[in-house]
Amino acid sequence: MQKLLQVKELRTSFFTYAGEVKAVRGVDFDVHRGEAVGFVGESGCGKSVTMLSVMDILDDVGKIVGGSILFEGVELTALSEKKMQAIRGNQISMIFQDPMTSLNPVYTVGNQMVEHQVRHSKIARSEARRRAIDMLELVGLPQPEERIRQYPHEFSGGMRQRAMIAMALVTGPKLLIADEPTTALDVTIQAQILEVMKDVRKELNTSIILITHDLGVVASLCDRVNVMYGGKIVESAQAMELYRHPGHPYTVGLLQSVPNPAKKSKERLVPIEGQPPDLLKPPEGCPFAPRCPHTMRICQQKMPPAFPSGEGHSVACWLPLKQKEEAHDA
Amino acid sequence: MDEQVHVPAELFAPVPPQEKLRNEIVRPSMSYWQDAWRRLRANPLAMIGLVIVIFMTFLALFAPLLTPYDYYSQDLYNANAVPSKEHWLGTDQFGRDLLTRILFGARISMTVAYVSTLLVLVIGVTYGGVSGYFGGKVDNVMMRIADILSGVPSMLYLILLMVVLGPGLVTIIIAMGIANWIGMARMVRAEVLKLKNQEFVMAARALGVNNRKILFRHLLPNSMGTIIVNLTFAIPGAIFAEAFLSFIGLGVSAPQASWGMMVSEAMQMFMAFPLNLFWPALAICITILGFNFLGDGLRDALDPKMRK
Amino acid sequence: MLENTLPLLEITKLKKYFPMKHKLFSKKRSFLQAVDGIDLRIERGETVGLVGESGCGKTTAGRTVIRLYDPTQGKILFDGKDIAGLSQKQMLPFRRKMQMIFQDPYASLDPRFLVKDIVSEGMVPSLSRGEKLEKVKFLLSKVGLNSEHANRFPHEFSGGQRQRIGIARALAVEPEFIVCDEPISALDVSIQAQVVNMLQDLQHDFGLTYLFIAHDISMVKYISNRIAVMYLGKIVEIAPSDEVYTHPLHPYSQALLSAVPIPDPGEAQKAMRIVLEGDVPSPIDVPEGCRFRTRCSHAMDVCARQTPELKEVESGHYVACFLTDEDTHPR
Repeated sequence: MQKLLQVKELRTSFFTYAGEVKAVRGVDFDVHRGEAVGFVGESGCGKSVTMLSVMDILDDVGKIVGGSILFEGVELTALSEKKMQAIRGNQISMIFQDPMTSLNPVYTVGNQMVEHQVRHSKIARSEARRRAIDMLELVGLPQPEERIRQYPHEFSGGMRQRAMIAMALVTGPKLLIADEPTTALDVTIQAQILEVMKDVRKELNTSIILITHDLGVVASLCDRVNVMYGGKIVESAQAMELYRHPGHPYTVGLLQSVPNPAKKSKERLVPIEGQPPDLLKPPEGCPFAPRCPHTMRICQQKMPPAFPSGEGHSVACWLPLKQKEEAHDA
Repeated sequence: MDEQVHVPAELFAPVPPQEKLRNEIVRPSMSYWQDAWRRLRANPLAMIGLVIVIFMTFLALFAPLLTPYDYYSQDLYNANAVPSKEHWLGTDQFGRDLLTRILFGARISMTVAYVSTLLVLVIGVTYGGVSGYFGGKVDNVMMRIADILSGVPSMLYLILLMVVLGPGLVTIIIAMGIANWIGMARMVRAEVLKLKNQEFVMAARALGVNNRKILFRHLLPNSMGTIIVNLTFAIPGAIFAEAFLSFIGLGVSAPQASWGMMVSEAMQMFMAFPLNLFWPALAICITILGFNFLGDGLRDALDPKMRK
Repeated sequence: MLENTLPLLEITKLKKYFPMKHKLFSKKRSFLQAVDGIDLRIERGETVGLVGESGCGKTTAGRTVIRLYDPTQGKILFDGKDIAGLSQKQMLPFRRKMQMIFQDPYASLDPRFLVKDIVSEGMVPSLSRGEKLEKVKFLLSKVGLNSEHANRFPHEFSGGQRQRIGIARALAVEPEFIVCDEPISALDVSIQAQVVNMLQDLQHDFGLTYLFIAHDISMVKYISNRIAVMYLGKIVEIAPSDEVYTHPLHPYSQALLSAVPIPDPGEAQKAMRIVLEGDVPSPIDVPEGCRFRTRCSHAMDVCARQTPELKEVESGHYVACFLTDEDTHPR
């Protein structure tokens, strides 16, 4: 599998009145063709900002301050805005959480989808229209020929999200970034949308980056998972491996604090004490140190690098090193 | 990424819990007003406006102390004099010192502006607050009454009041109050309608807090931003209205020095003695601009959505 | 066990309709039937979970039960006394006994009030300022905050901390019953567990009874003794939480539970997902008969003609469905 997206040492900050907020502090990850990668973390961990940096749609006060983003070998951070526009929406598409406000209410859905294609490639309108209908069908909207003549407000929430997915995919992008696409949806609609995304991946071999805070959603769709905390990736592994053998204390904590309804016994949830860090004054060393049950002196002083921990599994934590050294000494 | 990282053994010592957890709040503590002030300070036009407003208010307050002249003594030998060391801005057609008259004119303008706006504030806020909070039939009736009253031109109120109370400063103040409270009431009502469905209001009702307290302690303080901005724009309106009324002769009577009246008197000899017209007109313009700049700045500063 | 004690809350045929603005030239007045006749008993000390998706009426139900909305019809027996028809003034003594925790931590606290004023707002006025402050500090410590937080403004706190302040405010009046309206939906995952644990501890310490309204079924199952499932204004199933999860009897409950994503890829692959077709009908124009029949794969003729009633099918397990109704569907 070739690498579609390669991000190395990405750093992004927001320059606010109160100072520099270091939202992303050195993030490395890859996405291969046809792969679904999940980014899990809580608010403020930097997962959305990472993707906004990839797409270069940060607001005025945000800036990429370091690192490289290679898409099919091309360095995105070096591209002009014009060249970036050719990629945005065309090669890499993004869908957001709120389907209500992401579609323009004064144009029909079909109009928006056709315009979108025409803007990005030399495609005839009739051809664009046909592709739009095909895509609406792929995402499971019944009677697509009628749907394209309708306005967004005539769609229900779940349908709007499907339409958003269709619009994002109609130009045939290689990578779809979905930022909390199901968070605002009811659970039955969420299930439908996850099925749509699975189908899309199978039919079109589109790679997907899924950003969410819901461990259940990630488990149902993703091959690989990156866990983020405090602007860094703290653990990266295949999905099954992550849930069965979590290595980072934060991952462990998350899994223990979410009730698993399939489990019969009512074990008390073990919450992670404390609050997420304020990235205005990011702590020295590991960002999870204040909340970790295994904090050591080194954790407060130095940021742990990502140590490999098995096949395709890396954990940014000093604990395994300690355990290895103790085993070594023993 | 497979460099051998060597970590000295003692750094593996665990950290006791007390040293870790800090429920600290990192950002500096700022109340809503402090944040607004910070934003206002950063806006140059707003600061200019603020300076002008403070300056004019100062002049109005201390007018008699700032000048050796009074505003009514005539000195016909010195009529229409150009600016000089004795008369910094010159004199008018009756020999009265123009600077003095401007200062006393400031008194009149500022008094009308502030007092009538105070009336607007008290009546408008209470009316709008009650109407918005109770909603339903009460709101309907109250707003229809307001609609009817606002259909009457303010000039009519003024003339009626002049007939009843006689012309003068008090009449103008009351007339401005009556003409303008409806706009404030509507705005407050809109804010209250928006706020009363917020959860913190529901929480207060669940706690058994009575309606009056909810209105005056929760809803109105949270509408303060809009109210203040509205006030800051109402004031230049009142100033201009007073100037206009005095200009057409319906305002204060001679020899009181209203800017509007000064303009009116100077109009007749404008070609011959332009400065007599220029000074009061300039005073009116600067004052109104000052309030407008400040109002614009306040609106931006108090808008919670623009918090960075 | 609780045979002869009165339930703390007994809700009978509770309805809450919202009138819609009728069109200018039509005589018919249409209503949004948010809550359309629900029956529920809540025993002292228990936690009843109320789940359903958006538009099912669970939030409206919660607010109507504590009289933030006036019921259109029905009875609400609190400790035996019907509070459904009481005037606002008559409600005052009951207000202290039933409180609510709200969903949005950013909108549920007055941004102009200091924390200590927020928490003490509902306290009995006869207490002195010193006594109130003492109580505020005590409550803040009970919810995991410290006393220096009393002198700050809400915007200085995180979402989870604000929820704690809201909980302290509710506790300040020493209630017996608290409606928790989606109290953790707006919080980060790791903070949710903190708040849920705290709610459980507080229930134990203060002897509280909860009505826990949420759409996160996993969390509701964890915290509740019994769960009621709502659909379009009606309760379709009530059962102990484990029962509902392992043996849901109503087709909607079955679909709802199968849609819950499981945080384990192995289990997730195995799960049989029942995907519902179509969308939720509008609560203004409710289908005749059983309102779920438009999306139900087991719909029968009788479902269009009659509305199923909530019946006890197994001990403690109530379902409103003709499939399980012995009369129409004998075993």
